Amino acid sequence: MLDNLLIGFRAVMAWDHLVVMFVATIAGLIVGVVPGLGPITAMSLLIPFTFTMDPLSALLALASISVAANCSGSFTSILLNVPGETSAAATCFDGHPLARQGRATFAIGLSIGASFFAAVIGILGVIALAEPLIDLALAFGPPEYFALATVGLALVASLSRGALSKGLAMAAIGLWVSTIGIDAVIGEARFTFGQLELQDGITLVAAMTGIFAIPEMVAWLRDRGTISHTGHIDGSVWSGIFDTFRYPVALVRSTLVGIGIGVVPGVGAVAASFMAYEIERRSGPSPERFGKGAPEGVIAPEAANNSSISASLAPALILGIPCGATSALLLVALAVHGIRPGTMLFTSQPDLVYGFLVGLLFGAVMFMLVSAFFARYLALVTLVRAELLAPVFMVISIAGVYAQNQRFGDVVVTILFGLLGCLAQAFGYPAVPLVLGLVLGKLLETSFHQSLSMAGGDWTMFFFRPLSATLLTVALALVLLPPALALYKRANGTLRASSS
Amino acid sequence: MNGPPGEFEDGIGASPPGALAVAAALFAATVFVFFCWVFVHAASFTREAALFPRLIASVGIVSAFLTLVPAVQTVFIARRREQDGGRQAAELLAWRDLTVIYASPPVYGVLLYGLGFWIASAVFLVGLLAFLGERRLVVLAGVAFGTLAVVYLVFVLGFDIRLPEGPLPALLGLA
Repeated sequence: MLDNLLIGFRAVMAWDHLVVMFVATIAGLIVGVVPGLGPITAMSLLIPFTFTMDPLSALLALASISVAANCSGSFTSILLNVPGETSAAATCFDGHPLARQGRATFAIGLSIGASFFAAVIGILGVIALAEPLIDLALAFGPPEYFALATVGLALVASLSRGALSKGLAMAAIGLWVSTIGIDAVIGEARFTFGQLELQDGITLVAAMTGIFAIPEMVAWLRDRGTISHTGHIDGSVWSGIFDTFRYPVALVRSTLVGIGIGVVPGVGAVAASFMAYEIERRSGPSPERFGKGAPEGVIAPEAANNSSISASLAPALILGIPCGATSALLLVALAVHGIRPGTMLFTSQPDLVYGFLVGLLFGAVMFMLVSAFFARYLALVTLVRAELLAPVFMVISIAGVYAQNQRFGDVVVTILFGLLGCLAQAFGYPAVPLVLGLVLGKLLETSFHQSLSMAGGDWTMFFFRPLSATLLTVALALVLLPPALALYKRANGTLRASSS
Repeated sequence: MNGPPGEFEDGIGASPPGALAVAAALFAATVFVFFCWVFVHAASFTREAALFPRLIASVGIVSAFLTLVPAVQTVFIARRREQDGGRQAAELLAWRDLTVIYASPPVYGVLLYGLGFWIASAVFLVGLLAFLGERRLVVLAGVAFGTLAVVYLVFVLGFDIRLPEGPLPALLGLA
């Protein structure tokens, strides 16, 4: 592994590479904080510019912009309670309460520290453990994907404590939205009402921006004041970065969750971040701290998010199987430069592969330094009057949504989901289960149909495969255990009261 | 909203104002009816294609019903505790402000469609800020110009994205 790292360092350490990475990091930071834009948009738009670059510079530019955009997506989650990137949604839960307490820079520091640690470990994991990670990825077939998506949805039960029926209703809405369009397996158009634009389904970014951003902006307009309830900003970015390492268990555990999920194609960083958050919340000695500014509530989703993206590179580079949009675009960049992924790539072009991976490490360091500098200025947004901030943010968010596919239909989707989000917020329906349903719906249905095809229609096959049976048991436990425990406690309390 | 998990409590015992309780019950009823419609509409698909939408609709119907029942109960509770008279004038004023605030996103969408991004955004920014009480021309112009300048720099110059111009420039012969 050390030899490979040295090969990579030698390949990366050139001024032109470092300049390209620095510029891409700044661009990624800007893109990441704009809702609607994100690493995918940034990478898609950057690819044509990389045609004239050498392959390593192209990969380094794409990797840097991806790392920066992905990490900075959590900044708007923290500052504005609006995820700048779908995988940063879970960071809202504890990041924004910290901003309201006047600790925005501290929360950003936690996010940067966790992102840096997880990105580094994820990349080192790819370098050192590529083969075992690939074995893990190959162990997953359609039944395992179905079971894993079910685990993700079972989190709805946990995320809707006290309002399970509302959470399930919202998850069902999200799942229904994922069925709109032409299904990949069945090939039939559903709920399109003859509209051509709906045949591609609902754009996730448009829906996410609507369900998160618009209700938040409406709430700002309604409540006025500033985001920071204290009227000032306490703590520093660096105190947050160093404080991250005071929670080693949360940091390491979430990083490993992200790596485990990141190597599995199709599941993605969104599910990883929510799962890691829920695991930390349940594992801690005082789960009631979560949702009120618990540092672990920021560290867990950020670590899982970033390590999953790093880990997704292993199947992409070795097998040519993209585990998400980021790795898919990297494969496009490789193809543009005439490079085929595979095990031969590691032996025939080690300077390219390990240079790219080491470049990601540099990118993570660069992002940490650049964002630590800019974070204090970004955090000033929490001191701006909400009635000034809301209209500005609405305009920028809508521009970001339109920028995805340059379709007015996406703007309509955003506004409709915004209205739904406002109503849901007013009547106590949680929005997160809807997002989970939307993200996992296609994977759930596709893997379900594929599994049944594999087993000739035999439903029991999910329970005869060890991995899928284990995951389904976990999902069942996530749903049934909390109400069972609550019933047990209530019965115990009644028994004690009657005996005394 | 995207608030911390676990904050979303069912309505029984909370006793919201009557109008809000009725609105919550209407929302729950709408969700229930919606899933019934999904279940029925799925009959127009092939058996395989209809399977998942029907499964989802079944879960949705059950969960929406479980939400509807306490929502309706809350309406009766709220009506029993409701006060009227002097409160109504203040409520009307609050409702007017709330209506404008909640209607601002769809109004912006309509403006976008009709006027294109640049004009619609300028009108929206100035109009909403003025409605919220901002009267200083410097602030109104600064916010509108500054926002649109940032959007232009990032989206148009930075990412080469053409934002919608709407039909107005073509009508005026400027396209």
